[in-house]
Amino acid sequence: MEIIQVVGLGLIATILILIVKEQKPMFAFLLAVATSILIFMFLMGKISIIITELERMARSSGVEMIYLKTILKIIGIAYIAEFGAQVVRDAGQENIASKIELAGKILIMVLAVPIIGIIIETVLKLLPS
Amino acid sequence: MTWLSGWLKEVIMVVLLASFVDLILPSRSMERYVKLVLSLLILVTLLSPLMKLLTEAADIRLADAFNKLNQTQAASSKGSLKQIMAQAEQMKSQQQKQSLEWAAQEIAAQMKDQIRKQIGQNVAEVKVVLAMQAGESAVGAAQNPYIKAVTVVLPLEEDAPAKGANDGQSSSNEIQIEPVSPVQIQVNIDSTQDAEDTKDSSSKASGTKEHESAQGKQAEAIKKMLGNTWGLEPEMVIIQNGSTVGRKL
Repeated sequence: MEIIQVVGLGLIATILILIVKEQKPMFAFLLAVATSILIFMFLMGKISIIITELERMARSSGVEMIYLKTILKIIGIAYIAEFGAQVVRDAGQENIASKIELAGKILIMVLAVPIIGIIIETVLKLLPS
Repeated sequence: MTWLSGWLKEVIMVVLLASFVDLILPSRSMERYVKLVLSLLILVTLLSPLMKLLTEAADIRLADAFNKLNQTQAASSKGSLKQIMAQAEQMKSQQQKQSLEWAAQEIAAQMKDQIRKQIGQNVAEVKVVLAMQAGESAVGAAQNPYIKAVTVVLPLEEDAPAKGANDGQSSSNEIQIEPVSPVQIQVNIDSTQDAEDTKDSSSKASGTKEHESAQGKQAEAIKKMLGNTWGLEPEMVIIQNGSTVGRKL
């Protein structure tokens, strides 16, 4: 029944924001940020359940831990960058939001660099020089 | 077959994980990038047997690469003096160890030469252990290396004629002699007692006993010579002989 809690929280927050927005746009923004952080925190527990389950599966099936770590890092970066970007976008700073997203993308690409290196090295070793 | 099943398991798990991650991804904007990394991971998993064949395992190298990445980040951000000093200390000690090893080898070669020239005994191997003297540490006075122990291994072929003689004497002995394993023994300084011991235990192997005592004498001569020329205590020199034990038992 957690979904009802989340939706209820969201609805109440939206109504409050609509009311407050006329008088104090600043408070409306703060309210929106607080609500999104609350929902995010609420979801953290669920995400941790998913992640522990994934870890357990990976360990039991003998997947290298470094792969799982990379995947989890990707998820983390994506979530956090997305969250920050949306909060900033709500405040109307499209510019900064896109920069945050860019940072997230680049950090994800940094994770890909060693993998690409290994693959290319293997391919080069395969080909007769 | 276990290898194949393990590989298949790994591939299936990684693909499952990737699709799962794809589901819980928050937004569209990140999707292309995340998909790229995930597909690269799947590719690495698929290629992993090939990589194991050509180079070392992929996951180890991946971990290495990530570590290096983290380290360069840490170094550029901090580069603390303490860390650098610790590294320098480590390198210094490593260098010292290497040079000590090299010096020990040189000394061992010289000793071998000397033994061959002065005593006329062929030596299979000379091992020298060098150590640093713990000098007056604070001032950093030059530490002197000193010889900690010398091990001289006498060759086995010295034994061959005696063995042959024994074989000639009685063919039944052959079974006992045959499985001689090269157990190493330290020949004592008092060779006469040693010889008596052998007389008690096995009276029939008289040739061996003589041979042994002769070797004991030689060992003593080697010890004396090394002690004189290198300034060593006699107990620092250990003469090993691999051949006699098997016969005694």
